[in-house]
Amino acid sequence: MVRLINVHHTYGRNAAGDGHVLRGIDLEIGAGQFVAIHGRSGTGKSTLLHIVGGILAPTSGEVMVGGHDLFRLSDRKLSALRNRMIGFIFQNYYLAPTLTAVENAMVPALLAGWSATKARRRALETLAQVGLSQKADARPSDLSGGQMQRVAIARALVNDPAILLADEPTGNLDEQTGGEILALLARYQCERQATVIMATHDASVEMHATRQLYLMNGQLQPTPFEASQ
Amino acid sequence: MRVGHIAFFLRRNLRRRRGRTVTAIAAIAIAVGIFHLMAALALALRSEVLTRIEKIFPERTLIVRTRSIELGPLAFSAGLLTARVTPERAKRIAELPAVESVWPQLPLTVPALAVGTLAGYQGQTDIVAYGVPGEMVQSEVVGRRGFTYADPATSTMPVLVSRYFLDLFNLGLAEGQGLPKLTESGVIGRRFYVLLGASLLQTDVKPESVRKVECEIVGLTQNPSLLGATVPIEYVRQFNRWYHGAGNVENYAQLHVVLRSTENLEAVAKTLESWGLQVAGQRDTARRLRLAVNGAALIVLLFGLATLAMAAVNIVNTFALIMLERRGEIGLLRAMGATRRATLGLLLAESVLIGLTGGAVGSGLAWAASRLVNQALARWLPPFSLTPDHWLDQRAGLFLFCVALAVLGSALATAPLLWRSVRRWPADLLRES
Repeated sequence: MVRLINVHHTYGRNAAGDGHVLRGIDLEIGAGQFVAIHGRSGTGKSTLLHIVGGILAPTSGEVMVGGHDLFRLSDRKLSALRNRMIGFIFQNYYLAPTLTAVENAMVPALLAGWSATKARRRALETLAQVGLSQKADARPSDLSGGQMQRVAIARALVNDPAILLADEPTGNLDEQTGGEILALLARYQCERQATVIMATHDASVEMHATRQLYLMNGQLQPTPFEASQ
Repeated sequence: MRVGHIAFFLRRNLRRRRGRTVTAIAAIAIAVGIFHLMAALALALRSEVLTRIEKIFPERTLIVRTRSIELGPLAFSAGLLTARVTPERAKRIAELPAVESVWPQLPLTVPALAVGTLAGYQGQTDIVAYGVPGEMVQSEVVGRRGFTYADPATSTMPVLVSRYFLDLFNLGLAEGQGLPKLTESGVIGRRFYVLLGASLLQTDVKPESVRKVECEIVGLTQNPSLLGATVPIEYVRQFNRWYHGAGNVENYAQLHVVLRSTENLEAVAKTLESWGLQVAGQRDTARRLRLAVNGAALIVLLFGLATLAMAAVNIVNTFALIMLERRGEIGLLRAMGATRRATLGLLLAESVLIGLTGGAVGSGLAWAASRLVNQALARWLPPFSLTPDHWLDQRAGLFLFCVALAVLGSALATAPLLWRSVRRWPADLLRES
């Protein structure tokens, strides 16, 4: 499903090579896995997820998703792949402040070419899945952090993606809400047999993850708890 | 992205960012409105005043008359030293290749007293009258209602009156005596009569030789060469024959020589002067006036453009700030699968809509203001032949141009910034937001 070959990424360059965050990452993730990527802040977890999601080009290396070499695709094809195959959940939610919860969740469906009515119906379904039907017409400013993250999950799920990329989805939430969010993602992974790749600091993710990786010094290392498939 | 989806995002973005949207629209409306007014003034100057200058000082026309010796304001015929402007000479001039047409102006050589009612007062005055061919009148008069010859004993004689007569009356007599002012439409159609052979200046008038001719004003002329009363040439010819006999030698007061182009003006003038005639051209006067008017119009337009340029800098900065703030939104849209083209289209549509609304509001208000100003000035300013009919141009094309300018300006202000944003990787935009 996801394959990274010798992926490097550098943010700017200096003599010390401080900006070199990913140093030759090789990774293969099969369909239906729940992969947790651990690492301290600034180790490049988010960068890795962005590269897998096709929203950031690596400095070098190949990224294959669903059999496609992501960064050789045209903008139209890469956009279509992001829209239909990948769902992104960000730590900071990134909800559009001008749209209501349901309208935020509709956006990927609209971009996929659905009619507004159909997109709204589907968005309401996903909001129900994440337990937020009653807040469908609320604006982000009227929602709590946990509710905003649920809207962001509903938005990520609306096109029923095969890959879910979650960048510290519980980072800004309390323990109980964080647990609920993790359970939601695990349920989706089980029901849909989706691939979930999560960058996290949260140790409780061990309960759900089928595979855990550590990102240290720009390289991935398997943890002693890596589960077999 | 479908049009319906663009509308979906546009409606919500514009409605929920109402404050910013209204501010941007207001900035564009003010800039476009000022530019519209300046352009309307420049256009009115050009179209109204230049048209009048061309009418009053026709460039291709030479006025040819008997040479005179001028001593200050007095002019004396040069007598034997000069050539008379006769029909034969007019024919010879008309045969010159560079000449398009020659219109003679025949003076009435009989005293004439006009009697009629003006502003409720019965009045009489000596008049100067000339005869000109009907064709010449075609391009000269306002409100032309027929200018042909018919038997003066049984019909009414059509008369053209100089437009400056109205100015003299309105600015002099009417102002001084508190009389109602005359308008063009109020003068045209008025009837009066002329007593040929009678004069207030002559004491030895023989009543048996006085003939009464009924007249009707059929139009007004701005041609400064047609001062006094102008009538079809056949009438003047007939009246001169009545009093001086059929053998009377016909001498024209002057000829209006219309050239095919202005290129030959100097050459023709020299030729005619070599024939002993006096030639007056109006090209230099027309040029000087046109230059002044064009210069004034240009200054006004430049002021409008400067206002627009200053506003454009502000508008570009505003759009740049908006785009800077919306980098996250652009990154998010792209991360969720919007193509560069769709993202560009969506945000460009938003600025185009703001430009369209701002342009339409600004230009629409300026158009309405132009209308009010024109109406107010028409009411308050005294009627004068050089006064423009419109001080601010009101053509629909100007409104459309201003709206198009606002739309284009908004699109151009946004497009480069947007293009730079959509070409970047979504993760970079999200990180910077």
